[in-house]
Amino acid sequence: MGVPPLIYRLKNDFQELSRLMDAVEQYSLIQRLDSRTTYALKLAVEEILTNTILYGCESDRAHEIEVRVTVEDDELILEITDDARPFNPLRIPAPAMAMAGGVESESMETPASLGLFLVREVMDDLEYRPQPHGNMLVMRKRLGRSPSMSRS
Amino acid sequence: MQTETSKVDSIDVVAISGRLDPAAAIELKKVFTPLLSAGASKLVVDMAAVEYIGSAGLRELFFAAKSLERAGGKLVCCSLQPEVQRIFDIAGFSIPYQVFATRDEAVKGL
Repeated sequence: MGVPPLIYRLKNDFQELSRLMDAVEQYSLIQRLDSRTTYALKLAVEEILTNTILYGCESDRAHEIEVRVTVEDDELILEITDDARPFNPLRIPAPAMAMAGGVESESMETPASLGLFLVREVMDDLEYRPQPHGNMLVMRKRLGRSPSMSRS
Repeated sequence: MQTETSKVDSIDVVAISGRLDPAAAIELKKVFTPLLSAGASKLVVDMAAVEYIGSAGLRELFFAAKSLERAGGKLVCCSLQPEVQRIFDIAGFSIPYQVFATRDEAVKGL
């Protein structure tokens, strides 16, 4: 029997985000994800939801966000669906990198840019699917472990 | 997240533990601000017990480092856990801010 997916619905509220992070941590343990994959998953959930709550949601009304995490065919799949205003994070340009290899100061002034850049780097694949009343972002990361280890 | 501030000679040391998530980044700013306004010029950020940092935490380190630089000072980090080091590398933080393996090396390096 495989492990059922983690499905978590929350409002655009940072306190709920903190509880979601605990659930993500728990799911990583159950799935026996390695430390790098667990970090990537937590970073992607936190950065994408922070952007959605801060920039995608009008603050005067509650929004619904659904996070779904599953492991299928040696791949971690993270899907985040919201009813916020249309926003394709893949169209945000990567931060400008300075000669010394550092992120330039103006990139730091636009918070969405660095967070999305990190998510793109730690996940293998990101796909944006516009929804009739919101957005869906599907992120994938290959686990690189044998199929026999992903069961149990 | 928790922080502990101490001093080694003229060098301020801030040891951080736990998760440096967006909420913790706001708290970290409150730790840095009085140090910077009190004229701190050399700051070691000991991250031995930091298990996670996201873009909000990186941003606070960046702004503190820039502020010190403008005042002729310097911020260095030390004792990064491997996954935190990886995020520093991806963001290109390792070169401009200097990362040392241990707190002693960081203090000597300032």
